[in-house]
Amino acid sequence: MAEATYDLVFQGDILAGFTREEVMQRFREVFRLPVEDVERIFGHPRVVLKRNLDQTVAHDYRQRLAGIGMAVSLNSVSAPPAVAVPPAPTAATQTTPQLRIEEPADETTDESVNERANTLANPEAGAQPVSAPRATGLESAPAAPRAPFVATPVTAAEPRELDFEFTGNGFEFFRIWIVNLVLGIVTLGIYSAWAKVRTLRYFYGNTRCDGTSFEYLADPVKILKGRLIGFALLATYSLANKFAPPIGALLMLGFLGIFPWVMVRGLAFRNQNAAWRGVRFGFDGSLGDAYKVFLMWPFLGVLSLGLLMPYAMHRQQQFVIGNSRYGVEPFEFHAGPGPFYRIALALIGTAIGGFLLSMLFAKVFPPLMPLAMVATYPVIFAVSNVMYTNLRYNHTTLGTIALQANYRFGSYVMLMVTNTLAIGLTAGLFYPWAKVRTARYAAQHIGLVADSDLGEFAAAQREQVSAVGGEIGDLFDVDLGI
Amino acid sequence: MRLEGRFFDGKSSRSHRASLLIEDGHARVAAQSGGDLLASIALERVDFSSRVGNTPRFLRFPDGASFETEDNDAVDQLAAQRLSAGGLIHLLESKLRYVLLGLALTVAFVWGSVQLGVPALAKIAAFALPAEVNRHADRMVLEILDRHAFKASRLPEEEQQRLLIAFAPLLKEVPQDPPVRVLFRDAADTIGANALALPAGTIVVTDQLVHLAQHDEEIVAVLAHEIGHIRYRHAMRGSIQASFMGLIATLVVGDVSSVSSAVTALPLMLTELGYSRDFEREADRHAVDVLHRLGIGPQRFADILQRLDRSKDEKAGYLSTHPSTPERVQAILSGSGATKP
Repeated sequence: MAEATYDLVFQGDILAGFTREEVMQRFREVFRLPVEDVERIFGHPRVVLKRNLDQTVAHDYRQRLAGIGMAVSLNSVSAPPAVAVPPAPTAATQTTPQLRIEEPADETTDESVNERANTLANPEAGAQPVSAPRATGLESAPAAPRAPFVATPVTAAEPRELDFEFTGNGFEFFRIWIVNLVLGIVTLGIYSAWAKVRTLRYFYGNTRCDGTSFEYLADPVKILKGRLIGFALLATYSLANKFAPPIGALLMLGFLGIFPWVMVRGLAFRNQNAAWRGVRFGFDGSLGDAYKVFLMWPFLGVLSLGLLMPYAMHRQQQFVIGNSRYGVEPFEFHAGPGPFYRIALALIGTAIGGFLLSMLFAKVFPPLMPLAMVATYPVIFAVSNVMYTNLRYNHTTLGTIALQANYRFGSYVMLMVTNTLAIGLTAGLFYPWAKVRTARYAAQHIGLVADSDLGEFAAAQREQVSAVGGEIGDLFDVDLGI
Repeated sequence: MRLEGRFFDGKSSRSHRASLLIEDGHARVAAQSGGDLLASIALERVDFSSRVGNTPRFLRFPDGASFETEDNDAVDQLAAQRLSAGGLIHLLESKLRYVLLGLALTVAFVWGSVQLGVPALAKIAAFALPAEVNRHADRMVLEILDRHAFKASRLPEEEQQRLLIAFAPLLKEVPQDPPVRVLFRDAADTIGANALALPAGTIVVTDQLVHLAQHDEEIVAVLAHEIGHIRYRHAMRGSIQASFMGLIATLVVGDVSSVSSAVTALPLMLTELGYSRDFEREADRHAVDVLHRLGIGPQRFADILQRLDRSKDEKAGYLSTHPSTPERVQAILSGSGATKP
């Protein structure tokens, strides 16, 4: 029985709920394959991904691939009796040890496919010293596999799915919130900087990943300075706007001009003050790129009557995530512009749907018309939040770790509606509970898949951090929800 | 003393299950598997994070290493010797009576600001503003309205002159600085029969209002109401109050997040509409008073209000900028009863 082995066969089938592009993207990210290889694997009717696996390992692979949307089947080679594995429907060429792509035409014309297939199936044979993933902690690290998936001996670094966990509770935060409010009022708003730090420390500290909590380390004095300057600018602007609109417009242009700088400083401040296991996050975006993504692309988006807007959003996400790092390890954002256009279409579709529904109600049952119109806005808001969150996290990796989010429209709408109703009915007193519920929802629906040990991230040099995050950077306390 | 937790060296994200041992003023961290992770260090050189709810505490060491522990009570004991503002705040947060007191204070503050503080401050600010600011706002608003809402008046020149002469006693009775000037405009497609007071004493009367009025004294009554707005600087006070309320909302809600933006906008709007109705009542009282001095009966004012009411489809209640017409008429007529000898 111990001799029973399995082949992992992929026939291009995608599980329901996934799109082909997403799955290819994900497959490429998780196993770090070049685009061409992924396209070949997905382009052939039948590919043997791995051979000679024992039962548990084969099942692990199958589950893991199902997790990213690939339907693979296991072919038992020496026919063990009691394994509930659907055999591949086509007659597999089980006796041919090295044949993976069963399409003769390609066998002859496409050398590289065959070669790549060799590598996939037979790591020892195909191992080449190509840039190994940083610090994966694999036993086979010296062999430097191009695809960790293939070379992973499985026992060394079993992929683990880790969920975030939120342990805060509404009443506890309610008390913190009330004390923050009173002290804010008594000190004429000066305390609000300390209040912000306490609030964020509460939410970071209650968010855990792999048993350890996050830290928020910002200095309230810096936030206070930022708030005072921001407040002065805002007051100047609103006064100017009221009494001397030309000056107001000029100020507005000035704000627009420094907006990318504000974003960069704000992101750096936020990241540098967040830490996990004693290692801080960081942000390295350059000002030049910030001007491109926060001014140039949106401007072109407007010029193109919105056609380029989703592309601008794509560039912004790429900038924000791609320049973030944990310690010295950069985050990577792998999504192309396509999904951003899909989201834009979905939002436009929702808006049109809401409009048509209201029109229908206006004809059939007029009293419901305003209700349908009012309900359209939160639906658009929810669709956008759910889709953007999923898009952001599902295409973000940190080294060999892949983040994932599975916000669901139904549950998210329920959360929003109940929160808003409860805040309204309690004249705002439910607010702290709503914040806690939202944080819990986020923690429950965001997780990560770790290929390697989470202990392998090196901290950045401290000098480096303080040099980037100098005093001036903290003037603006910009909120950039991610 | 012994605390259980995790140790991080500050150089990598590796986590070690460890214990922190306190012996005569010194701390050292021992790995669960045996062996010291951090050599003995004087307790004064260790930094304790202050307590926030039941979140884990961090002890930070000078070389960047840190120790995370859930044992809040033990850390509180260790930190007891140090005076920290954070500890004091946690005390406030953990005692229900302080929280309830805080809640009461907050509610009282919000209520007091809305009812008294904001209107009083706005009044002071509005009267302290230099006249030039009002004149500027006056010009601007008129310019915008002329461009978007109004057309030149179609009233014959002699009719306009006749009306201005009819208004003269009123303008003499309540002299304003700068003096009130009355303009006629056609607003058939926009606001219809109406009159508007701009901040620096310009009153716009629409042709439609002139047509609606059955007696000149009715227009005089409306003008008296508008002069009330000018005299009490309602336009300026309104916008200052809106700014103050926005400020208070920011103070109370903190950073306005997506959940709360709709939730804060609605109360703000309702409060501002409430202020607007208060202004209308004040202007009505002013009108009744002035009409009385001019020897014009308040019935004239009530008549034109009721006719205006019929000509418009206005929603009453909390969503309205004006009090309901029956309420206004009743106040106007009863107000006159009180002033009659």
